[in-house]
Amino acid sequence: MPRPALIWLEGPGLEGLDREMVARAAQVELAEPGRGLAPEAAVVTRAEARTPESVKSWLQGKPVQWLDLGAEVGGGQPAHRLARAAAAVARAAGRAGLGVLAPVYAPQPAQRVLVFGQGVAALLAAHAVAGLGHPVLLAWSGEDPSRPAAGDDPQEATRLGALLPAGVELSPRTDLTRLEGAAGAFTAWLEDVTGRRAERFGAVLLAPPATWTGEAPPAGLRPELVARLDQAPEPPAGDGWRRVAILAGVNGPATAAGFSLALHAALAMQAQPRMQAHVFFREALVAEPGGERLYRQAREAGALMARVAEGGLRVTAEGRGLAWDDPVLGEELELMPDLVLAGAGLEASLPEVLRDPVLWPQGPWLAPEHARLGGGRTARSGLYLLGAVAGAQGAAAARVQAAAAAAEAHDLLGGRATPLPVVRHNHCASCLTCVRVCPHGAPRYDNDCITPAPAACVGCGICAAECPAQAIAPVGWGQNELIEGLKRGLALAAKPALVVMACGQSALPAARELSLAGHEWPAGVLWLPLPCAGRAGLELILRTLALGAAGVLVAGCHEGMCRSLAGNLRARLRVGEAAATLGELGLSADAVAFLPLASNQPLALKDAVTALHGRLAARGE
Amino acid sequence: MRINDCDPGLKYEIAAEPGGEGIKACFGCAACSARCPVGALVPDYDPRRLIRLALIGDRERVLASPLIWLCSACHGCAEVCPQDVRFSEVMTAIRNLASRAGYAPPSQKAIAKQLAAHGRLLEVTDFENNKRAELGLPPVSEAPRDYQTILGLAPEAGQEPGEGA
Repeated sequence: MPRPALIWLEGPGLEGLDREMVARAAQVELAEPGRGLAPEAAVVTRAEARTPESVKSWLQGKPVQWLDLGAEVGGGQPAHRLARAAAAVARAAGRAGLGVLAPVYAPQPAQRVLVFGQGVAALLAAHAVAGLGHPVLLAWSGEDPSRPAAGDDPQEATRLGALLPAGVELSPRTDLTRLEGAAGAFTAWLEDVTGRRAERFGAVLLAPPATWTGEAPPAGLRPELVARLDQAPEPPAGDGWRRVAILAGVNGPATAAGFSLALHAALAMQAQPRMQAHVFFREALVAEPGGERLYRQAREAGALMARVAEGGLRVTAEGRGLAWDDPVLGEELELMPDLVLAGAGLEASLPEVLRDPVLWPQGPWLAPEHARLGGGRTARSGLYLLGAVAGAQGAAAARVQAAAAAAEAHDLLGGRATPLPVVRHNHCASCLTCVRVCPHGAPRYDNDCITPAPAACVGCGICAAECPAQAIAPVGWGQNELIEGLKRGLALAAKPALVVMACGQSALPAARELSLAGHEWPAGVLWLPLPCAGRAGLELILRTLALGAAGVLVAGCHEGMCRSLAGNLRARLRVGEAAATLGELGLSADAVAFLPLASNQPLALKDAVTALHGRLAARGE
Repeated sequence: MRINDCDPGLKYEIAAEPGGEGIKACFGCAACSARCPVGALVPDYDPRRLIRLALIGDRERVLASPLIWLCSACHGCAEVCPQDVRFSEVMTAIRNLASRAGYAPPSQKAIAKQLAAHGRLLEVTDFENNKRAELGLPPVSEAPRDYQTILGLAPEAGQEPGEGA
């Protein structure tokens, strides 16, 4: 086992700490950077990004722990600072003493990108991906790639279809019958007149064509008065003023595309002489690009807008009239329309290929509403859903979506060295837990074993937290490595020791801000930086307590903000299970806690750490 | 109210008047109503309501309403309007239409008579002319021809520029 040395680089938060006393307390040697031979292993008191290149090259190839010591120590009494610094250095030294874990890099991801779908959304995606230099296979079930889907501008579809860049290969009359894989290694089974073939792709963009779904007009209206908005209705003929009622979501909220369609119809009606359009809606959906301008254009053209409550549009005069309460005038208004245009909205459902209950068990959870899943992203890295199925209403939104998806796919497939999670096949029972829990879809069961997809892993460590056999972990985040560090850190930490498992996205930056401002943490606080709170896991929490920690605080991101979709929820769940286990054992269940946090909420972190540590200290007395 | 009895053309007539151009931009947010100092004193006076009636085209209820003469032209509504309706000016357009339709109240007619006769809304007395004399200004003439020309009451404008022109 290599003996780690401490390489002390002065920095913010380390003022007044005696490096020799820290080294002695942590039982490591001090080494002067760049002088003599590099030590067998090292703990450096700075984050890797802030360490000079000369030190990094001197330590090349050695097991090094980059310890952001300033962020972990904080201010306060010299004795307490020394204790916290020594515990942190010991924790890092324990990990460094395990030696180098050689990272496993992904093989070259497949570069071809499959765009499957019809209409402007699919064409925009093919343009965007090919524009970034990836060979694209554009496959669709129809004949003509320029055929517009519902809601598309036919001219734009024709233009995009005619100007497809050279890197786009076309596959008309094709079915996508099966799809599996993740970023860098998708396999798609495509079927056309020549037969069925399986092809490899680095990323897959699906743009199922949208369809118009009509809004049911209020019951009792005479059918001869009613026409569908999306079917190019003829304006009513006659002398004098003619009046058209346009329904844009009176039963339920319209889609933004449906609202735009209604406004376009109103504009077309207002262009006729002596024609008055009345647009009825529950919500004016103008948030799409250009939506507000269109709404104003329609008003300037003379269309009258009427906002009605749910069920507020009543049928009168034996099916020939519409009545509603005007909230501004506070009275009932009644209109005898010459024509009623029933509203419509754009809809697209999840592609058939993703409904396979074995390969795609997530169903609608593949693309839930989540702050991290904009731009067509899904819970499967490298798979994008574009167009109306992902909420894009209209070409402007589809263009943004296609560009974002293409940019991310390009980033994934761009050939940067991605460390893969390490799988210890002799421990793996092929239980598929990692396949189920990975929020990015990285581990796959391939060739009778777990094989990570080349470009999907972000190193969140959720697989390592959940694997019952400790058979998979991103490099450096295995259970052994974390436990070895905690063992040495807890041996030095003041009692009662509180281990704060801090998500690197939220809690750690918050702690760093407090520490550098000189906040005095309780003496027994030991930080355990994690890539994601989801890395904590039930076993790590319980083993930390077994190693002598009096309590564990897991601090992760707020609900809905996790970069790994649900790592924070998973952490909260595991903390609850740990508390239940403690309760069953007759121990205090409140020794473990979960704290949802944002990186700009240091005071919440301070309060939670103080409160939990105070509780533990009171119990110890 | 039956919409079919209303006149959709009213909003175009208002918009064709100078100052009335903005009326169709209104989306009914009521920022003007909240700001209006007249509305604070006269609960029935609600700019948004007047615009709504005008847009629907209830000619009688808009033009014959005594409320349209209450606007004090403070332009507070124009300051807060997110759609640049400029309600004070829309009000002027509506009043012009109402006057032409014969709905102007007697006080307005009296004011118009005063304006035609004297070229201003207030009578000029010795008080003002004495002040002007102290400052070395000529006295205000009571019936300058150019006002009447502007108002279309005199056949042609005088050759000499009147005071204040």
